[in-house]
This record gives sequence, structure tokens and C-alpha cells, in this order.
Amino acid sequence: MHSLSNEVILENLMNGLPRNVLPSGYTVIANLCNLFDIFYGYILGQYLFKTIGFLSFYLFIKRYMTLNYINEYGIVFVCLLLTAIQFFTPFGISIMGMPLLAYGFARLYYQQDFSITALIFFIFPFFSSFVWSGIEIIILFNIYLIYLFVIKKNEMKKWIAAWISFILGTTIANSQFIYGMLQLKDFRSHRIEYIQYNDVPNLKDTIMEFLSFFFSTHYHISIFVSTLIFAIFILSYYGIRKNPWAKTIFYSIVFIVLWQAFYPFIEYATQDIVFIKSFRFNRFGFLLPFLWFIILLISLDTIARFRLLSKTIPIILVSQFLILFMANDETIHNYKKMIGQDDFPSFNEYFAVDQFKEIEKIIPKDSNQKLLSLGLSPTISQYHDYPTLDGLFSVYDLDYKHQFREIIAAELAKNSKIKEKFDRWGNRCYLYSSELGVENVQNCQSAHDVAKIYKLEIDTDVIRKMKGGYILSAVEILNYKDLRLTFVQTVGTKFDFWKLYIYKL
Amino acid sequence: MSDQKEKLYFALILLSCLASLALTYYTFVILPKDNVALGSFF
Repeated sequence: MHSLSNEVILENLMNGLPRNVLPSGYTVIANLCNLFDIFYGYILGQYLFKTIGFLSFYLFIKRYMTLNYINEYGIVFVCLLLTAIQFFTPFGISIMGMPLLAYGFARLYYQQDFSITALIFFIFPFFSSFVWSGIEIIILFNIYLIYLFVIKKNEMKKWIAAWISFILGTTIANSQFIYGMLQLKDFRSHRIEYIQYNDVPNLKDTIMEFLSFFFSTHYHISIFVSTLIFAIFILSYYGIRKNPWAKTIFYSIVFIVLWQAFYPFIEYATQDIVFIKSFRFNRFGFLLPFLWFIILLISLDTIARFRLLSKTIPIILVSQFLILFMANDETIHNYKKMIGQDDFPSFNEYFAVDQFKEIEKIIPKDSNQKLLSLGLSPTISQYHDYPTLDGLFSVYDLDYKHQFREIIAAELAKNSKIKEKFDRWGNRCYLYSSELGVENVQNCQSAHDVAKIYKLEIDTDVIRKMKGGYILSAVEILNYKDLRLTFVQTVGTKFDFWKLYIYKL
Repeated sequence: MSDQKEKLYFALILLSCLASLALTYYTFVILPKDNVALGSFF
């Protein structure tokens, strides 16, 4: 997990995936999952990241924001609202930690004790995602340093030292990935064949992207619905009192959203530049929830000046909480499940824990008889330590993708949507079926779906050549004999989340 | 701010809360399960 060597190859994944193309083993979340397993690692991670978010937001407000009218309860409630947003646990404090970073920048700005500031900048990368916030923070930091140097002509020493702290932290935290990126020989990432656009992006999509990003951010960042905050900002700013800070922050939000909406045009124009295509420099949305909350605080402080209007503050805060609550499908599923109104799987159901107890008696964990999944995510087999030919990886070998494509070539030819998904993107190197399609990106077919595949056309000779031994399918394959497969047995029933069909090559 | 204007803003704020709640409820609870915004990407 912590090895830097490019010699470390994970033989169980895709016939040998270099360790260094996977996310870093030096981040906090990776170590929590390593120590406590994924389930408890994620729970502890969520608790830790939200605590950091709450405390740093509160500290930032108390030390660096001038709020004269809103009371303490209102401030604490807004800090708690930050912790109510939904975010991807592996991305750590990329969103929750924005107040911490703002706190660090404020300390720099006011030239306060540098040791704590340097520590904040150094440890931040260990708690966050390199791809989803690290690169973008470095870009913004660089722009700001240039601004300070060229326009403001400020004293730069501490700013540069903080920048070095951040770069150093980022480099150590992501040393495996960076080392792999620079040093992996004979490895070409499948990302170099990304094709994002065939035609010039159209204006309608751009407008839709703008509205969607402005009012609900992006699922990768968090589902953050901003309609209410936007309305309160408009009412307080244009109707009551114009606060220059609120205006500046609002313009920053609009700029970030515009950049996101128009980025497809930049991507289209730079499609031949592999570096830009691989990294995608449009991921500044991680700043949005924090910026919206700052606007909310300023707007509430404006409203709190007036006796009658101040009575709306609890209503606004509770409404915003309910909005976040409804938009957070993780909590919604949990509560629905508690009252018996949800068929979304629990962790154990999704990972087919009961079914795999049985499967382990049937399928050996043999690297010469690897597994392929159909209609369920290969991560499930990987979770149970089975070697797999398929997988979901943000970086893997391009030659492997080409070889894997031979298995599903006939299926891809029958369905343009899965062809497009695999050929132009391909992070999901899955055993696609034209009959199952790709509309449901998980491509998961639970026992409740009762789908069957009538005519699957896959090249089983290629699977054999690639050392595949079994197909684990969430749907019945009716033409399995034509494919020279042997049906072994089913595991699970129609009452379970998964009913799995085992086929042997 | 006059009393009348304050009352108007009071009503507008309440209206904003109700409209935002209704919109969120419609988008995230009523709309189909496989709505991308509902986080169907595992």
C-alpha cells in the first residue's frame, strides 16, 4: 500500500495493474480504510472530515468575519449546515476543508504566527484529493502569487513559504501517483484515447450546464442546492443593503460556474493535448458550497438588522437544512430504509456478503481463472479478493483496454451508447451487454429487475487467453451454451438484492 | 426601512423558502429514481 516502487504490480487486477496508478496510500482516508476496513474507514472518515469542516468554519467566522447582527446560534447553525452536505468520502476535506484553507490564507494575509499556517498548508493534501482539489488549489495559489508579486508588490516571503508547504505536502501525500506518472515505463494510460467531443459543444448544453452547476453544483463535488441562498442574497443585497464582500464572492461563484459551463469549448479546442485532456482543469466547483455559505452568512447578518426580518432567520436556516437533507440521497435512503420504504441495498447487500460466502465454496481464488462480472460492478468481486479481468479505474493500461475490447466488440457494435461509453471514456472496463445498455451507469441488475439476456455475443476465446475462468452474472444468460459456457449454479434468491448466476468457461 | 417594506421582504423571504423547498422536493424526491443528481453513480 505504501510502496513507492514502480515494480509493485497488482496481479489480481486487470492482469497486472501498477500500484502507482491507483490513489495514494499516504492519505488519511486510505489509511483509515486500511486500518478499519472500508465500511468503518468511511464512517470514521466522514466524522473526521465533518468535524474539521465545522471547527475550521467556526474559527474562520469568529476570527476573520465581521458579523454584527446575527447571533451565535445562527453562526453555529450555518457551520452545522456545512456538515450536512453530501460529499464523496474518498475526496476527504476537498469540500469540507475549504474553511480550513481559507483560515490558512487569512492567517497569511494578516501575517499571523507562521508555524500554524505552514502546518495547515502542509497537512491539507493528506486529508484531501489531489485530483479534485490539489491541482486546482495549486493553480489558484500560483495565480494569486503572481497577482501579489506583479500588481500588489507585497512582501512575498511567507506566501512563498506557505506555497512550498502546500507543494511539499502534496508531493509527499501523492508521491506514488506522481512517481508513477513520471517514471512508469512501457505504460500508456487509457486516458490518452479519451474523446470528449465529436462536434463543437452547443450553446443549449452550455446554458443547461451553467444552470445545473449554479443551482446544484456537481455530483462529484457534492449535491449542494443553492436556490434559497441565491434568493436570500438577491433580496438582502438589492433590497436592503449592498455588501461589497457578498458581491465579490457572488461574482467569484459566477466566474467558476461560467468556467465550468464553457470549459467544453476549451476541451474541444485542445483535444490533441493529452495533458489537458487527461487532467480536466474545470474542477473548481469544490469551492462553491463554502462560498455560498459565506454569502448566506453575510445576507443573514444584513437581515438580522431589522426586528421583523430577523424572525425569518430560523425559518431560512431550517429550510436550508431541509433542502440539504432532501438532496442528500445517502441520508434519505437510510431514513427510508428505517421506515421500510426503500429497496436501495445496504452495504452488506450491495457487496453480496452472504452470496459470496457461498461463492467462495464454488469459485477458487485462482489467478488463472479470473472473474468477469455482468450486470454488477466488478468492485464487488474485488472487495472479496477475487482476481478480476474487469474493473473501474481512472488510469489503466491502454493496451489492456484494446485487448479487453475484443471480448465485447460484437456487443459494442450493437449499441452505440455502450460503444461511446467504452471507446470514448472507458474508465469502466466492464463486460457490457447491448441488451442491458448503459442508461443506468452502474449497469447493476438486482434480483428485483428480473432482466434476462437473450443473445450475448462475447469472445470467450479472448477471455480464456486473458486467463478468465468464470462469469458472475446478475442476469440469466439464455444463450450460454452457444458461448461454450457451463452453467454452474445460482446463488441468492429473488428475495435478496442479488441473485447471481455463475458460468464457467 | 419602512414597516411596509419590511413586511414585503418578510413575505418574499417566506415565499423563497417555500419555493426552494418545493423545488428541491420535486427534483430530489418526486423525480425518477435514476435521476443523475440523486447520486446514482456508485
